Amino acid sequence: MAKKKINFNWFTVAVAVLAILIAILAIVAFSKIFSGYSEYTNGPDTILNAVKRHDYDSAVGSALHDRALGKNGEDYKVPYAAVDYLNAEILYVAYEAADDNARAADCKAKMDTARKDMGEVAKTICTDIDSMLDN
Amino acid sequence: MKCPYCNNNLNIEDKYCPYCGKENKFAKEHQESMEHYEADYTATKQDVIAETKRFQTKTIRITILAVMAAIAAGFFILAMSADDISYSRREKAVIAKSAHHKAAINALMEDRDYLAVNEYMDANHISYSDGFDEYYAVEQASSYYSYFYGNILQILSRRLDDQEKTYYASEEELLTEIGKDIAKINEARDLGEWCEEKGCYTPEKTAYLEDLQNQVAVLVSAYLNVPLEDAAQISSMSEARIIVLLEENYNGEKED
Repeated sequence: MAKKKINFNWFTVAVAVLAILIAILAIVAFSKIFSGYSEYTNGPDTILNAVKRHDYDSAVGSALHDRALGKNGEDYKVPYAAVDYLNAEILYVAYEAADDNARAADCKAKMDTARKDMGEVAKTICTDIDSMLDN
Repeated sequence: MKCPYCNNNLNIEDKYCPYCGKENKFAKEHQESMEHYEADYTATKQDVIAETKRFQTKTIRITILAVMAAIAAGFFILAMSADDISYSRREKAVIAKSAHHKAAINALMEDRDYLAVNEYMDANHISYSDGFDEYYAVEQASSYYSYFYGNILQILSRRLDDQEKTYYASEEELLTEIGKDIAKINEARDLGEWCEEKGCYTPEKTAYLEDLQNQVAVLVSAYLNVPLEDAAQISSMSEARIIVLLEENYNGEKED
């Protein structure tokens, strides 16, 4: 009788261990196979907050990524406009210093459009960027 | 058999002789033997059945464990191959939409949106896909432009003197990285015959690359204090020369 009891526990433990192993391996395998299609996005708040804390490198990178994935909803309007303003003014100041009036004018137009799109946050964001570029 | 008393025919099961009526002692012995053999047979049969049952149970359990182990091994192999499978699926998806992607890249190139070209190719896993070799030089130049631009942004954002911000790279390190990025951009103009054969340097792509280099020169002049005439020559300088040029001319504000 005692011998039978030991055999039963051994089998149950072995089945349980193998079942858990199969489950883990299956999850790992399928998540890896389909992970390439998971399109992470940064989100409009991430972008705008990065601009507000002057982490412009991060803001530009995040905006570029989301745009490349086709994220263009209404909630992205202000964050994208903030990044567009930043990029446009950087180029505007540079091209103006290089006396490339045509490109400078093109950048200025983009700045004006972006400022309008930013709405009420334009004042704070643009002031910071303007002062950073001494413009 | 014969009756020992009257010698008439007798069956082994007859307890008494039907002729002389005497008791058949052999029948009793036979009966006892039969009962003994019957008991033996039953006991042996039960033993065999029990043993067979144990064997079957053991076999079933071993079979179950073997099947589960085989399934686990299968999933293990699948997990090891998952990256290749994922890459292969991604490749197929990219190639299926290659016309759409090329149209999008060409549009971004026409707009001279260097950052967007790089990000588009990266986000859509195009960079190393088959069928896009003609964009290799464009992709390389745009990729290093994005690093260059990011480093320029880091230098610029220090002007805002954010006390609580931690910078992971010093200005000297940033200038060195910028120098390396510019050198890589320059390299993209001449990646060799194989790239030329693939169509990397069509007039449109060459114009794109030249404009990108011009923009680099303008930004270096505006924000790293390099005189414009020197910055204009940067596309033909070596990496070491570029880094020296940047270090000699840059007078950025120091961190507190």
